[in-house]
Amino acid sequence: MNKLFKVLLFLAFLWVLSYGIAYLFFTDTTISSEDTIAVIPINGMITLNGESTLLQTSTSAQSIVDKINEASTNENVKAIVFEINSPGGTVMGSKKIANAIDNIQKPTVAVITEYGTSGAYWAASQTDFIIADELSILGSISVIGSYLDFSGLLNDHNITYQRLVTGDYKDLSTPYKELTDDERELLMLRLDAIHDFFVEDVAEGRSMSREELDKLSEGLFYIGLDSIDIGLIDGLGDKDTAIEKAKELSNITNGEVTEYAEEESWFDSFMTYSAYSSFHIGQGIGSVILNPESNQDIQINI
Amino acid sequence: MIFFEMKKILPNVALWKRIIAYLIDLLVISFLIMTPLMRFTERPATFSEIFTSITSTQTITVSILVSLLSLFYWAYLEYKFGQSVGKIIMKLSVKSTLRKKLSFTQTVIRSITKLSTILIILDTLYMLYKKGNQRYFEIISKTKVIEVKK
Repeated sequence: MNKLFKVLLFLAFLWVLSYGIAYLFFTDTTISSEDTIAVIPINGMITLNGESTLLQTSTSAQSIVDKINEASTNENVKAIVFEINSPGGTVMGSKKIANAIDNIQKPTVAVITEYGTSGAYWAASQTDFIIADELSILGSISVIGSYLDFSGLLNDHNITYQRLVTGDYKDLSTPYKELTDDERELLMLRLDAIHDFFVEDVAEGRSMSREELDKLSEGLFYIGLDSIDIGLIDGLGDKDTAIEKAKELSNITNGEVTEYAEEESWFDSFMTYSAYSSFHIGQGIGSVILNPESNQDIQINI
Repeated sequence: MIFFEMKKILPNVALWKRIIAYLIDLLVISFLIMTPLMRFTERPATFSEIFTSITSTQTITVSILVSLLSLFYWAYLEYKFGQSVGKIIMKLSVKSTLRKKLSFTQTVIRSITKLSTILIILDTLYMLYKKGNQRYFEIISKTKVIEVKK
């Protein structure tokens, strides 16, 4: 065997060894305790199937619904806590999660950490109890369909959009031509329909009247401190508060907590840990340079 | 005379090549060792949570495992082939300064400081301070990095 092959063989062995050690020592997917509180995270932009780009990762509504189904059907799970830090996402993704939460037959608690806006708040509104930090940002109960119109830019550069469609509205909202008043009205009708559906569902989830919620559905976001009085949340606190509330709602005193960690791709794992490595290298270098008192034998002057 | 011969046979290697080789090795270790371990362990969701997670039992256990496996990566490859992946790419090699083949103990000792950012920096600064081409732990382990001739 040549040298390169032997090196690759060793690297493969090392990878398998690392994976094996990690799997043996750190995975425990069984819920053994009879009284368990399941914690399901909802982080990042919500999309139906979790499509990610170089600049943005998203969370898959389908994977969250799978976790919900697993927790719902597990007899040992007595209540479910949703740990939310999301600005919202696509209509279908958010609706899928909200519907799944609404169908849970066990006590549910949502805890909003940094963000719980738009579609993420839609999901939270379907739980039995919402907790947020005083400064959490939540609400933004409205729909957005904005896009960039490049028609002017194309005109300035003498680029023509050749319109070849078989239906008048086939290229509705294409960025290459200006939106007509007629088209704008059509788009707004559809956005209004989605908005109505969204607000109706949130009102039902929060046991509020449609009139009450309409006043809060202008797209404005609210902070946790103001949200109790207006009915968007039920209490202030953090994840621990939410877990205690879940125990209270399910009448258990000493329950175990099981986290349903988000699955990430190998690429995501690699990029995450490369970032951590870089951070720690920088932290190490910075600590040597910026704290000369702690290294009395070596002085570095900048 | 022996020293003169060794200097002739083992010329100094540019530091930038060694740094690049080290960074390549870190990348390989990130993929092979850290990524599998991180997939199954709790990890901070944001950078700000790194500080609070440092003292958790799981973080400490993972750190120890990563250190041992990284040490094994460097020590074994340099013992068996005289080169880690980074050194293969940068055409460098590790040789013993003793009149014998490189031993596993030598490669372990020379690689110990690579487990800590601060230690490897201090080790490298020693080399710069002495204006030589051997880190302190390379002197202790009686090893040196040379360029591979084509």
